[in-house]
Amino acid sequence: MSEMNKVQHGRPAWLLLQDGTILAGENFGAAGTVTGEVVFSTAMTGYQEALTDPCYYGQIYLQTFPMMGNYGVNHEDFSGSHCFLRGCIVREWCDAPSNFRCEGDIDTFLREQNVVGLWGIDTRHLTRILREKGTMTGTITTDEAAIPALQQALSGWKLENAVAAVTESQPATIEGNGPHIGIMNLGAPSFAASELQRRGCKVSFHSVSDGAEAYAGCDGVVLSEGPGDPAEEAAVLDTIRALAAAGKPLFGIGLGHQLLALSQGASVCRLHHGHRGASQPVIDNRTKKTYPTSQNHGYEVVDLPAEAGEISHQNVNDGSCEGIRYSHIKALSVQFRPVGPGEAQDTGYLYDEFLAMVR
Amino acid sequence: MPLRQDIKKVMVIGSGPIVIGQAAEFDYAGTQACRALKEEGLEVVLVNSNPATIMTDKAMADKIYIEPLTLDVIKRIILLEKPDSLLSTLGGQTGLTLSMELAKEGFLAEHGVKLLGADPVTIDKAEDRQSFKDTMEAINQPCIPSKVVTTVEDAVAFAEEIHYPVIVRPAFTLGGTGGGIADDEAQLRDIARNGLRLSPITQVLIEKCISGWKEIEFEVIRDSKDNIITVCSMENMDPVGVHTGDSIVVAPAVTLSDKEYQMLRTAAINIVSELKVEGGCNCQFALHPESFEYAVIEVNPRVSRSSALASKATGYPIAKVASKIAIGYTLDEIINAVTGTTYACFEPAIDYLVVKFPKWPFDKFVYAKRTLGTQMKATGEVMAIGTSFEQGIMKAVRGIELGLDTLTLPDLAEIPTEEIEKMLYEVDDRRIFVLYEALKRGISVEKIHEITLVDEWFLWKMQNLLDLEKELAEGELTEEKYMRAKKWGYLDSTIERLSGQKPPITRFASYKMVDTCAAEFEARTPYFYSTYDDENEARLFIDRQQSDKKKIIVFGSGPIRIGQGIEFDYCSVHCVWALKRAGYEAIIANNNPETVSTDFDTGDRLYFDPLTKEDVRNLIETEKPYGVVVQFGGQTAIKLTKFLDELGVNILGTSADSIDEAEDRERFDELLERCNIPRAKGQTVFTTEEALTVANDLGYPVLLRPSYVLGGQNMIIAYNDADVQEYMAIITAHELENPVLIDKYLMGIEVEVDAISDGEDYLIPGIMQHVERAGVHSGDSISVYPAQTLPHHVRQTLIEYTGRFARELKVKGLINIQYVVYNHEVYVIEVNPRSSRTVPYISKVTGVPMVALATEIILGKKLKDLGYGTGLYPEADYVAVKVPVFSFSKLNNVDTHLGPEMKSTGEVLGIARTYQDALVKGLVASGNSLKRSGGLLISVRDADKEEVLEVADKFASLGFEIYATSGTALKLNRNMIPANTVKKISEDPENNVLTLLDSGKIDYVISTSTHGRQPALDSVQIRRKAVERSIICLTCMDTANAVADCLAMDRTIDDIELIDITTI
Repeated sequence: MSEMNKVQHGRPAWLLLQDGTILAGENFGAAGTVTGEVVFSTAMTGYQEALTDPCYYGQIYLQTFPMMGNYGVNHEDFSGSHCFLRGCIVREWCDAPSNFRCEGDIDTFLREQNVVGLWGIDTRHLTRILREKGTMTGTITTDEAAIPALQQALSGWKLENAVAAVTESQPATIEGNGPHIGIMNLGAPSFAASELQRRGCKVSFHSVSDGAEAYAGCDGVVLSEGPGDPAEEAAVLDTIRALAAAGKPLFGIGLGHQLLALSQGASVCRLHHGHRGASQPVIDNRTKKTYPTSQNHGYEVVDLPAEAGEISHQNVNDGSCEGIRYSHIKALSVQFRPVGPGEAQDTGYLYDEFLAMVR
Repeated sequence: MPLRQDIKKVMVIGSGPIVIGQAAEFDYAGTQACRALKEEGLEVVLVNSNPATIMTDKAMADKIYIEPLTLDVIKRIILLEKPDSLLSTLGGQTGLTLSMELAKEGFLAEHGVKLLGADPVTIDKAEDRQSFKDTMEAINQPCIPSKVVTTVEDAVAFAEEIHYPVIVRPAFTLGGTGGGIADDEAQLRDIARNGLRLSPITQVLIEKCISGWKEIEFEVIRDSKDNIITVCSMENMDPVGVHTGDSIVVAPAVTLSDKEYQMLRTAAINIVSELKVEGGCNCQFALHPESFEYAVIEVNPRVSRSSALASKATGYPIAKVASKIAIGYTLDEIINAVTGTTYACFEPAIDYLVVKFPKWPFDKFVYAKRTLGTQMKATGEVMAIGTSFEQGIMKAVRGIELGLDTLTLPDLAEIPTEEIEKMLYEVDDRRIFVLYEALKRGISVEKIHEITLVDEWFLWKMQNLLDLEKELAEGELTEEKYMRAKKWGYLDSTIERLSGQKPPITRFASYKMVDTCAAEFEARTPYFYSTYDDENEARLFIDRQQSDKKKIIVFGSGPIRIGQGIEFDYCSVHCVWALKRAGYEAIIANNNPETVSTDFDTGDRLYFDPLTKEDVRNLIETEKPYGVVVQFGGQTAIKLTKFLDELGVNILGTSADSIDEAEDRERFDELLERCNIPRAKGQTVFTTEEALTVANDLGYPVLLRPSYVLGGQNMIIAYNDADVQEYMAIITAHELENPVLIDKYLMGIEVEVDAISDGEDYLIPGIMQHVERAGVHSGDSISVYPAQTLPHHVRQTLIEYTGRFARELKVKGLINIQYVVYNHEVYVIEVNPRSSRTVPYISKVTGVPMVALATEIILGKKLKDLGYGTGLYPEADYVAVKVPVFSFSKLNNVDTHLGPEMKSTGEVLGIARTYQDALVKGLVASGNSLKRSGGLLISVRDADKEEVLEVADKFASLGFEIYATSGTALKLNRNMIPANTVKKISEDPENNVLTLLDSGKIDYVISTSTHGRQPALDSVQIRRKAVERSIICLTCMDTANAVADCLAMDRTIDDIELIDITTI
């Protein structure tokens, strides 16, 4: 590291919450004002991956682990092309990162990405507020004079068109010798794409506006992860139903899981304060095995009609639905992000199950 | 799967005495295990030779055997108790090795005992070097190039193949005993020879040295359904090369990117899955700092020191969960007891940083080699929780009780910069202070990293502290500056000293929770640490509880060290339990992660923080307790008394004034005069000249010690002017705040009394007599209850004096008094109005719950109403002999000669119907196999030459071949005791006492000398050689006599009845 970007004191910033709370700290990353849903994640590593995860679109990301930036920033580890979230809150950021792949510090990176950062606040206090009162809208600002007006504006804020906002053009297809899987791009298709690639699949990407006919050449369809409120994406439900009716094997993940469930008569409701972190415990009801999973969502599937399918996975802590195996259509879905080569201890087996359905 | 139906009666093997590498963490683990099993309605049979533990308490198990942990004894207990299962993974290496031997011999199968926790295949795969390597290769986990060898020649040949430096790791030894790094062939030959000898299967691993790689650990839990989670990651500040027990460790790992973290986490999970461990497992990795290359260093398929640390660091009770898994439960069925709502399959998320700091014994062993390597040397550790590394390390460094409050070590200030730079190449216990000093001298982070390979992240954090200290020293101490210093863990007194200014404001700490889940869920049994933040969660928690109980804080005893061990934790825990039973809210404050006291559910609330004045004041401010208890936490708690008293805090029990009266020399003398109790003549001095005058007036030998002492720290017996001069030179090298005491040394019988008093009445559960005469520290003496040879009038005097002290000091609670009986007269040595080392063992043998009674008295009860009577309690039907255990093999250059300075790290107990039987049990439990034939080497100082005749005669008549140095041999032969003369080291380099010890002909050594300590002395070399060769070395005539008497008995350990102490 040649020129270090030392932690500077005296750049005040504030967080305003919908419930009237104002917390004063210091600014890092970009200066300015941003508004978003304030959500917390308990993951202790992986800040780069989170900051660039499209599923955090429109949100202000609170990391409960007190340090960010210890190992700096490198482009190799990004989940998406850039930062999709609006703001970032942490207790302290590290101005002397240390890692052999480090390309720069977190402050500089967030400034480049125009993400407004807040540090130096009691992050545990804020987490407790969110845990008790639920996810709420907040504003980070470096403009003290604007605080009263910004607070007024908080109640009217709503996250909209999230999927469209994060959807980026993808390569037409990734070649492979295995089955051809189409990914319905709900905003964050890259996690699924790399897992399918690992398994030798040919992968093609399709936009939410594409109809069922666009998947004609596919052997199966993955409904990808993505940000936002599933209710906003009602338009896509017909496509999903059509694919299901045509006997296309389907695998819904995250937002895709929620939309698939909606298409089969279930409902979706907002979780009180979301599931975000690297170790949400999930049990596979068939094998009774548990897995620590990576999650990042604010909604859960409820009221699945009995005839539609069975709850295959549940969150061990709160019992919420984490996965479904459908009865009459060739489909499965999970709320969390399945990863891994499909060994005993990872959740990659779900891809293998899906591909078995395809074959 | 729920509880297995084929398990009804489980045997648990404890880890035995506290030694370096195996300490209080196994009392914590064993206690959790016993409780977890009993919770399920299972019958628990416990075996442990260590009486100072909570786990050997009557309430912990159904049957308790405080017996030697030998294969034969365990077999006899199995035959006696017929357990259906044996839990192997909670008693440290000792418990695991014994369990494995029983299984391998087929003994368990033969007697229908199931092995729970880990089977022999698993243990072999993890512990046998070659099968471990094969297993790792089979699942593509990289190991360090290495080879198992059984001869020194093979070791040398392999080292040439992989190039020096190489690491030598002996198989199946505690804490890496006997291992080391060899830079060349000569060193390798030396280390390998020693390692092969120490390994029970004569096997060592020669391994490529990967010093400088990052050392990362994962604590993993697996159940029978192959559910696996990682509880915690940890990163050693010292790169590979320093034993993790001797390294500063942070949790979670801080310098790993997610990719590296997930890579190692996955590796850990795959390893544990392959090994099929059912319970807790520790995986250690070396990670190349500049690439993704890594290697598996070691896997421990059991709970360990690291798992105790991980438990305390996260709140996740690993030992409890491991026990539940062993009896059939799976992770999704076990509730996380801290939150009360989540399950054990949830990987803990933490929102703070933990710093572990080792406690080394080098302040006591001034001549010990301080270098750190693969052999652990620390006796204990502290854990600090902070919201930043800066805060954590500052808390840790003041919690370790070295008298420091920053990373500045004053000793280094005088050393020139070139020397400091050179010191960077050596790793010893002062490592972090040297790093800090180097930064201070302007040596760059890059350069320090280049030399030490300590990750820059840590160095920059230290630089942050240095920058802050510079800022504090310059300009006005603003509120902003003050608050920054507070957030980084500086005490007000430190800020004031560094800035030369009074702080502009005073802020008390706020407290945050350890809750396993980073606040994602509400916690039911959290614990707390201090920080400087907006919200005080402890305050909120207390308010929400709305408890109408009175609150009492019990101060714990801090890190385990020689002189202040696990027994004070035993006392603190019992006090907490007694307070809870009496309807109070019991709050515990301590910073030792290895102990039962810091388990999440021991107290109603736990505060994991240092025990310095300001830390304690912060706690008082938040808790606003009704009162506090200081008498159970050893010197750590006792030394807070005056400060707490000045703060106006209600000190329950014996008053601050009485404590001071017992500790302040002048006031103590007045007390003795009032009580009309004699003590050895003595005086207080400040200078060497004064010391010499006084010593000559009193007449040699004399006893010298500082006025405030702990475990006989820096105490010696001086036989002449030269001894006094040497001692005063060492003492005056440090700042002399307290004077030195010189007493006439009375060579009599040492007697110890623990009593409970309410200020009017007193109860003496038992009188203990030491085997060794006065002059050997009471902690290092073999102590016998009940006293065996005291005449009636002496006993009456002891009781009478004890009563006078109790009344005169208005003792409310415990008092410990040491006496010496000299020419049938009783003299007092010292009075400690607090708990002592002997309380746990006397409580267990006599059945008098001493701490519970003391606690009741503290709360206002009268002794006569408590049902145990007053005066001397009736003697038990059993004799109990406490035998000290030392860790000399871990500490190079430490003289093993016993004296007034305490050296033992732990103790064992022998209980039997007669004194001799109990002594045999105690000696066997302490590791003395009582071999009845062989050779005896005698080399004693002139003063002992007369006395040694009796001992020598006893050995000779048993058929021992006796060897002695010339003077001693002459004396023996003149007295008709056949003895071979052995040359001194200087007389013949090829054929002398040392080569004799190497020859294998010697089984016992009796060695005493007027002078000790200096490693170059012949006598010290003899004793060290005995340690290296695992030869029993006796340094006091009384111990030697006792051993000889045991050898002469017509019975052996096999003939002595085993006793379930719950029936006493």
